[in-house]
Amino acid sequence: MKFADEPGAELQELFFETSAELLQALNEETLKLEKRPGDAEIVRVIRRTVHTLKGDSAACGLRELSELAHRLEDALSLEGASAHAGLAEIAFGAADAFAEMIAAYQGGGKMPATESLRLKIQELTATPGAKKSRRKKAGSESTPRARADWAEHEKLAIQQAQAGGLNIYHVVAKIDPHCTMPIAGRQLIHNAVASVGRVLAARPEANTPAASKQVEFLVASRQPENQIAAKCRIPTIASEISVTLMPGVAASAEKGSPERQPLEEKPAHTSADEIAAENQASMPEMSFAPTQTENILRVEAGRIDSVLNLVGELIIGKSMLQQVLGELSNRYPKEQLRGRFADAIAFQARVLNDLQRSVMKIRMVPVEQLFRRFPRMARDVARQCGRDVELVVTGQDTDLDKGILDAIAEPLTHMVRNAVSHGIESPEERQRLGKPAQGRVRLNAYHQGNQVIVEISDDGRGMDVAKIRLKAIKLGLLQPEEAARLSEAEILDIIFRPGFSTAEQVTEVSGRGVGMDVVQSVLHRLKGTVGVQTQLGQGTTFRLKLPLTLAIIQALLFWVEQRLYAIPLNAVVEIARTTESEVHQVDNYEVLHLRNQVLPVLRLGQPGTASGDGKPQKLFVLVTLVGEKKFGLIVDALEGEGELVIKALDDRTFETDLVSGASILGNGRVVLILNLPAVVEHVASSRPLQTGRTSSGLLLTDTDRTRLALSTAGGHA
Amino acid sequence: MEQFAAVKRSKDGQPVRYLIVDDSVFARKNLARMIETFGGQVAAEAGDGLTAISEFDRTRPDIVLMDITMPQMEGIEAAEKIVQTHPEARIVMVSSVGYQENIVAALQRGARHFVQKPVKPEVLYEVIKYVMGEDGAVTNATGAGA
Repeated sequence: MKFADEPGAELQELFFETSAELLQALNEETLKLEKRPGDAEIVRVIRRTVHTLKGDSAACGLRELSELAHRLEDALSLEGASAHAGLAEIAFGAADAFAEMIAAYQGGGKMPATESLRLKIQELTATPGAKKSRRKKAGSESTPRARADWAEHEKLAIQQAQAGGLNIYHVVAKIDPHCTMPIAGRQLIHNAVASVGRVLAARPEANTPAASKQVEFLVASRQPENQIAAKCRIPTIASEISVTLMPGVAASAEKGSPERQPLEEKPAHTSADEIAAENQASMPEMSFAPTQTENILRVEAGRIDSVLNLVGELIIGKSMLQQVLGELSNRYPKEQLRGRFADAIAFQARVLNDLQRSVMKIRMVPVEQLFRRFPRMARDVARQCGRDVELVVTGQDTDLDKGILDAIAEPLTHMVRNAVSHGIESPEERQRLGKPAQGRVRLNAYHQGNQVIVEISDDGRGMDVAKIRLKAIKLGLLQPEEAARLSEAEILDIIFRPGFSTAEQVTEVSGRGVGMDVVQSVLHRLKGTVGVQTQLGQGTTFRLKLPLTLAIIQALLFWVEQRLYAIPLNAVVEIARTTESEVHQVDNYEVLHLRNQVLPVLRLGQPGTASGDGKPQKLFVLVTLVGEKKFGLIVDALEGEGELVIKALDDRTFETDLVSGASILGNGRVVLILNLPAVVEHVASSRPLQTGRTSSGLLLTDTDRTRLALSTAGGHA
Repeated sequence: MEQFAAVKRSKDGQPVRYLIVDDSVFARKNLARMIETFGGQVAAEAGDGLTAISEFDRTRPDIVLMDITMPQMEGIEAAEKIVQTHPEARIVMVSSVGYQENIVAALQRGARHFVQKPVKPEVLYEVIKYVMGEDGAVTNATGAGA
């Protein structure tokens, strides 16, 4: 925070955070407006959002932004504005301009040019028939919204005052955004309210950022409400006042639950049908309400990570204890204390489990945070490409680690763009094919075991495997004879290779140099996978499989040449036993016949090293799934499954991508976690193996000799 | 300078009388010129809090414009003392933005309003009208000053 010392810096930070929500709301509402042009209610919501943005930005002294927002708000409050055909377009433009301005404020960059937008807004006001709306003429510019709910003791005070024959008024005063001393202004309003009656409650607390925008009071008074409003309408401080008479609370308190519950109230304005409607409509969480933020704590992600890290250490501690317990049981099988020790450990393990889950939950956010930005983007891309596309989003509530969510934002953006611009055909073509003119792109997320699946599917033209095959040969990614052998799924995998793009031309929309290879590398980094299914003429589905968290994995541990390794348990579909004689050599690769299936295998050690005699040797084969492909991993022995706390490896000492991390077991043993996709990739790209060589030479010396072999009946992509 | 519709005392139609308290002569002159354009009259001036109290007792102005930082006695204390003996006193604090806390304190001790330095005439005018409330009346006659 670079302005941390300046007064108001905190307020500004808060503004930058909340403004993102406002802009999102603006985009969402405008999308709705585009579908239902002329809907006055949507226009009202848009105007309110712009209004809040105006007020908030003015309070932060962001003049250009508040001024532009002010113009738009004014234009929107004209009657007839909602009927303007280009309104959605203008609102989108404004949303973009606001976003750019905010980015400029944050980054100290250049203000965007807004002249053309201003002209458009002006046109809006010049629309024939546009005139100030009734509400404007009535003089109350925009009614401040009531937000507070009252605590128990305050409700009690309300009841007592009502029993004493006093009227209870709910006074909401919006502090003029141009007021430079909002805290003093708040005090002044407080004084004014106190001069007409007894103040029972005030919201929000003084000295909170929110307090500089709007204040609310409950006041017990004998005076009529218009007098109270007049008293509170203080020049340069508060011009927007709403005073509502609270009905008797005895009834609502009886039926109400003991928890905090907003007291029912009805606006007592005389000419207030419209305002009442607005009050109702303003209830959705368009902007942050003080009472909501009070329950939300903003915490730096780093702090949560350090807690998670400590939990990881505890898990290591847990397995150390279990180890000791095991040894104790062996050494002193008759010891009485053993049972109690075991109970204590089990209890601790259970609590630890809960602790881990709760900490992980803190890091989890619904994927909606990411998904919500796509409808607008899909619309823009569709326009640019002359497509008619509907984006259907489901599974928004699925939780995902914040770090993972941030990491997939860009790949997912790319894939949605691709789906719209390349996946979906033009409306004419679709009609010719007998499909509905409007294409459909579906974005879905759901949990599957310990993973989160994110799917992007379209009902477009699908991918032509033959074309991909040809192109791969042309690009030199495949040898012709190799290409002929590969299965469709394997050909499809080529689109994830660097340097491959099926787009006919590089367009502004999709050809940004971010190809599917980037998508895949991001997924690999996250220990996730990406797979694709396509049907020519029917559409394409990309499926991202993501771990729930980056910090802890369920892993299968195994031995290769006296070294312990692990792979994510998710990736393991089956563990099979076989003998050396079942492994066959095809070309330079090895394959395994497993229940009449041919499975390419990778060998992590040297053949036959485990026992030197001539007997047919028993082998363990871990059948794993990477993306949509299965392959076998030959290992010497299994250790079991376990929960591993991933420790990142230092890039400088560890120059391989074959290992994604390491972990420490309870007995102090170090286990390396293999990066399966990279292992497969490594073999697929047929480079000579250059596995990691640590500077100490301790960890991976044996894997220098690792034979990673791969073969298929038809090779591998 | 701009002209404003004069604000007179509603009980007798006489000009509103002001006590201007500021240790800066320039600031006092500036405020004096402003209130003359509102049709007001400067009853007295004071350069510190103590003088302000005695001048208030002597002249009984309708409105006090009170600076916050002054030698001898600060504006807040002076305001508090005046309100203690004259609860009906209408005191408007005049200060720059940095003294927001002090203004809050003054408001809690009985000050009626505040304006920010540098004082804008149109703002002060609105504040005066608000503070006078029913005791003030806007007349069509133009102000006395120029």
